[in-house]
Amino acid sequence: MGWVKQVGLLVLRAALVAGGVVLATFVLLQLVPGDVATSLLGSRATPEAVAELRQQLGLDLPWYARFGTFVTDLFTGGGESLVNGVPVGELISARAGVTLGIVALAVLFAVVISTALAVVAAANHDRWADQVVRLISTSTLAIPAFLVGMLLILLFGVQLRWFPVGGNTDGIRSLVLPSLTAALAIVPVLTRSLRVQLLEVAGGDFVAAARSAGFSNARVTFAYLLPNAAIPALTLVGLNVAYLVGGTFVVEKVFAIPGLGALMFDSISARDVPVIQGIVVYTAILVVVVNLVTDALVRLIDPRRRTRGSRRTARRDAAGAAGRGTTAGAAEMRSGVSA
Amino acid sequence: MTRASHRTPRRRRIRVAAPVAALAAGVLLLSGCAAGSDATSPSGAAGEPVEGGEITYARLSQEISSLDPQAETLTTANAYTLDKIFDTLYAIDTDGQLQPSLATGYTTSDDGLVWTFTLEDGVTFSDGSAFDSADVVYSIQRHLDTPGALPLAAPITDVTAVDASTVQITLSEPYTPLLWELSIFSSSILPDDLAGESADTFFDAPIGTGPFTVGEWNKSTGDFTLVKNDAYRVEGLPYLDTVHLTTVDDDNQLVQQVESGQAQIVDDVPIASVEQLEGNSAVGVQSVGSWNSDIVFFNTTSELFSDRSVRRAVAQAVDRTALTEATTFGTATPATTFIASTINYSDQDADVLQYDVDAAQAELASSSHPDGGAVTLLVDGGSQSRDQQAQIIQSSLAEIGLDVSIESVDNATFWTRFPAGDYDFALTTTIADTGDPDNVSSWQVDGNGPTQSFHTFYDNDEVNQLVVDGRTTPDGDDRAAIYAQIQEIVAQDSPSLPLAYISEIKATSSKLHGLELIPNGTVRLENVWIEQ
Repeated sequence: MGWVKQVGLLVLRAALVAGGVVLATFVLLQLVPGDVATSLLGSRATPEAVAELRQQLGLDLPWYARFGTFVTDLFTGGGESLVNGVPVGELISARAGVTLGIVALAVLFAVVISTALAVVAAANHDRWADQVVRLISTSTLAIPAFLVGMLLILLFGVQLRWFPVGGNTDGIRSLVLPSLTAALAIVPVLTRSLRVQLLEVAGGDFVAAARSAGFSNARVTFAYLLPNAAIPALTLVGLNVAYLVGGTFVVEKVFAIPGLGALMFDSISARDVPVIQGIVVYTAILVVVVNLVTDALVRLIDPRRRTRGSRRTARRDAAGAAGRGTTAGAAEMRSGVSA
Repeated sequence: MTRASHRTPRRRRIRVAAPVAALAAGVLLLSGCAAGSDATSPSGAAGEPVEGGEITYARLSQEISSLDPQAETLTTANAYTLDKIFDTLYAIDTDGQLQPSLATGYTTSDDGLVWTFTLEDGVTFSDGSAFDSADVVYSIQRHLDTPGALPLAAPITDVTAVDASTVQITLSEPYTPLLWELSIFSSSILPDDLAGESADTFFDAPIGTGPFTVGEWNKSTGDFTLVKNDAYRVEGLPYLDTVHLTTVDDDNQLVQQVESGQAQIVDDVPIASVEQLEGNSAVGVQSVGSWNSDIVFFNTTSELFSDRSVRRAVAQAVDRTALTEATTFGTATPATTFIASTINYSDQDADVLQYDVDAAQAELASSSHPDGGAVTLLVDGGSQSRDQQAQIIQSSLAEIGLDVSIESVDNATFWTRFPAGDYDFALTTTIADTGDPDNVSSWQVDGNGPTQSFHTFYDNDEVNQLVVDGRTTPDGDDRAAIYAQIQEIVAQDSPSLPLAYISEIKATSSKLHGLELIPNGTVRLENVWIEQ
């Protein structure tokens, strides 16, 4: 399959997903009772006031006319918020930064924490350290993100005052606790997957060969074990980004972060349809793109999945490439790793 | 010419100063929660006010969407912001009574049709231009032309400037609550012709006579800052330079922000957290009895509740005192009549139906549905206390044979189904805009009113007439008698079941002083100062 055709198919797939999302959003919003007029007027919702506001906002049009506006809006930058008249594109770009910041930081936290836990667990297979890691990853899986968030707020925000309890007023310090909360939601899954992969790879011939060549434990772990075990985990990270974006929306509420999640909650409760559809489509595209990038990364790391390219020996190459990046970390970790 | 009094002898006022809820007739109810030493009297012992400084004021609300007082979207977030920027002719004080603001006083003609207001001298708008009668005429005329979410109900036929500091309002018939109506957010005084700007431009950075002006307002991110109006008419006020208004979606976060010192004022403190906050020496809790009530409304066109006896049975089957105590932790008082005890002419001695399960059973047995039946309680969700109240009502009514299912829905859904009559009975919190009983009466019990007795479709000719009489009768004993009669008839007919008169509760940093809580839910910030 040609390169252009492959990309074309991926783009087509992404477009179909986005189209499905748009349609589903519109249908779901039609099924939800209430509209922006009743939401904004609340207890002031006299029939006259509601009728007037509906007419002002074009909500009195039949469904096909509104679907027409809905689709046109998508192709012309998203229309305007029914609540404050700001263009949807502006609203989203003003809020997306902080949400993306949380997602990126959360991925970083998740990767670092789960790698550390998995290495410790695998290196101490079936000993107490392994049991502890397994216990932690099973039990944290059962704790909802908002609870973790509140506990972090109470400890680091209210008691220790190391980080702000919420809001986005303090640069990256504002994002640390929310990112950590979002990360902790996927750490158990990543840790367990990575640990199992590490144990599996540890039985491989090339590992035995490396050990018999007299390489240190750390070198074996970081140059041979991790890069090979990382491939399924990386796919898992990619798949979890969708979950992470959704999780970030909840986390934003707990931390009062004025990001896309907060905008989404407000827009849903206000039935601000153009903004809801804008965020949904934007998020869908984001998730599709992240999945594409993950796909590409996996191909890059795993030579078996390269359809064309270098002829160099597969495992050594991948292991070497990834291993170089972690040499410094390996030195620090040396004492802690003993297989 | 007579000068009408807006105070009334029969008015009873309740201030819920954290531990003590003073019930009418002198009964003191002691509740469980501990005293905040500075509750309702924030300033004083803390020393001399300090000028300058900035605070963060976190509110549990939607973001500010418009500062136009005549917008259809006059949400609480908008209303409680624009009242810092604009003044009204009369203003509501911390006791829920009217005080002159931009007006210094008024007189009325003997027939009550011509009201003449004298205006404060030497007032300037925040851009330095002078305030005079033309601004008042323009603002009232704009409100008449663009009714917005809170239209002027007063039958105004003419507004004219007599001279630069005198304005005359002419009515087609007497209208006693006029001053109250001129004190609502929607009656804010704008500069004449919006200072020559279009409404869109003007309300993005409005010019007013209030203590603050808009500093920064980013509609995309929601960042909003109020800054001191240097031209404010009271010398030396406001003390603060800057107030950051932030929106918080989550009430735990609200509590945490004030506990950590990140916010200096937080609105809408969840009642379950009041005790925790009062135990924190870095935080002060203030409350004031509000004009708002938690009320159950009956759809008087529904199968069961079209029968007066069924409604009366429900009213007698619910122990409101226990319900209020259990769900509001002593921050509210059990309700009697639909006119909250904080509102003028509330008659707390009215003959209302009392909690009596035997009487409730007897009443139901005499109704058209002696064996009870199944009904759905529609709840305006998102409030822990209302959801708990619904559960208590459910179990209370099970005892008399009414099988209640609870449907707790979000705000937009509730305000779609409730006005459409798509409910059996419904639980919500009502908001009164004024301390005059006409406001709550026209909304809740007037079958010819704008909401058909607040969507209950209750339509009692006698009550309808009394509401009109109350609106046109001058303040005094006659007016008191009218509202006493309305409250008694309504209590006996039970188109609604008032549960609790609730409080406005705010928490502040203990370094913050001078915050004034107003019973309509807003706060005054001009006297607020912060210890350095």
